[in-house]
Parts: sequence; C-alpha cells; structure tokens
Amino acid sequence: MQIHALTSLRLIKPKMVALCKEEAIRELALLLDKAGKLKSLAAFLKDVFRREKEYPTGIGRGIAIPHARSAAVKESCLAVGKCRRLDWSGTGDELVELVMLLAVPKTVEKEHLLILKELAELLVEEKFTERLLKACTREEIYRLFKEGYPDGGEVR
Amino acid sequence: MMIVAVTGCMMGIAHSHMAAAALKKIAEGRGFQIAVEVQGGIGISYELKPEDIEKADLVIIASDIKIKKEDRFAGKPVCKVKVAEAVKQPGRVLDKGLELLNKWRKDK
Repeated sequence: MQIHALTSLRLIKPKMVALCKEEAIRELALLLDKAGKLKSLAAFLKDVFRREKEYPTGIGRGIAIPHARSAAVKESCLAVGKCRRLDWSGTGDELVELVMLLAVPKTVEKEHLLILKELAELLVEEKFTERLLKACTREEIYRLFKEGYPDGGEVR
Repeated sequence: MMIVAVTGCMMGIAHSHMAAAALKKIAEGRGFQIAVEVQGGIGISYELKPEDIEKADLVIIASDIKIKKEDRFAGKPVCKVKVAEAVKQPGRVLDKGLELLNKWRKDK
C-alpha cells in the first residue's frame, strides 16, 4: 500500500501564501480542485469547515490535518502545504506550519482505509514529521511520503 | 500486560486513526501488548478479538463519540479520554490508564 498514491507533486505547495487557517484550507482545496479530485469545491469546503468547527484538527508539533469525508470528493487524496505559523485553534495555543488536507469520498473503499491507517502511523513517527517540517521543496516532500520512514524502515 | 483500546471520532478517517497509531507506538515502546480498534463514521475497523479482550488487563477508550459495543468491557478497568488527548499526549493517556489499573487492583 502506498501513501504517496494519495498525493502528487501538483498537490504539494511548499510556500503557501495563506495568512490564516481558513485561507490555508482554501489554498490547498484549490489544488485538489484543479487536479480534478473534487465534484464541487464549495461543497467540499463547507464539509471541511464544518468538521473544523466541531473540533480543530491540529495534532501538535506544528501540524494540522483538516479533513472531510464528503460527497463532493471523487477519490481519496491528500494535499500538503507549508505555511507561515498560523493560529489553528483560534486561541493562539496551537501554531501550525504544515497542513495536510485530507479528502475522502462518502463511500470509502477498504484499501483507502488502510492508507489512512498508514498515514496515521507515519505521522506519529517523530523522525518522519521532523523531516517533513524541514523539507523545502515539492520533490523533497513527495519523496518523504514515497519512502515512508526516513531511515528506510518498513511501515508497520 | 495486555491493553485493548478503542479510538473513535465523528468521521473516523483521521483522528481516530492517529490516536490508534499514537497509543500503539507508546504502548509497544514501553513493552506492553496492545490491540486497537477504530470507530467512526465509517463503522468499526480492526475490531478487537474476543480473546484479546478476555486477556486484557486494561481498556483505554479514546473517543469523542459514544462507542459501540462498550458492554464487551464489563468487569475490566476502563480509562476514558478524549481522542485529541490520545493524539497529542499518548504517554499521559497511558499513565492515566496505568494509574487507574493500580487503583482498580487495590480496590478489588
């Protein structure tokens, strides 16, 4: 199973222009839309913002994973962007500089569930997230997802 | 020492998986056996095996939703936390669980 199958060079933006969380989500959603992954950008954004309102999606260490399982999504995909430090919680106690926008269609196939599990397992590896936070180019970020653990180990 | 855990969130595509991975990593890192089930909008994934539940010394439920089939854990010490807590501070969640287990054993 390959996590990098969810993303691609055109879904990665190492220098985002967003000045706030909402802009960051929009900026990445636009990449998904341009790549033909969405049926409706507006409907998808609505679902993501609804989810975000229920509970902010920061996971600590400067990383957030806004996401939605939405009828507006054609196929599971992941957009990755790096931005200036943004207030993710609305209270200033969580600053985010790496955003991964995850889009999943309403009906999730079993293989995609496995990818979600593997993505989660990668993100709890500090070695991986440290490298991700340091990476500056599209290619570097993509390669990290493709290779998984930076030390070449197997994804459990 | 065997731990079974259930993680749950509304969608079941991100936080529940993150919490599961985080708990697994921390527990295995400390030499415990752990099995984790994920619940959410998609249903139940990686459902716990009855024999694992039977063997379990401790149950951790990290969820923002009411989990399904909680009655499976009757008679076991159950530590309940929010899913975000398990994502951000899995070590603290595990400590909390162990504390609960100690107390539970003393009371018994």
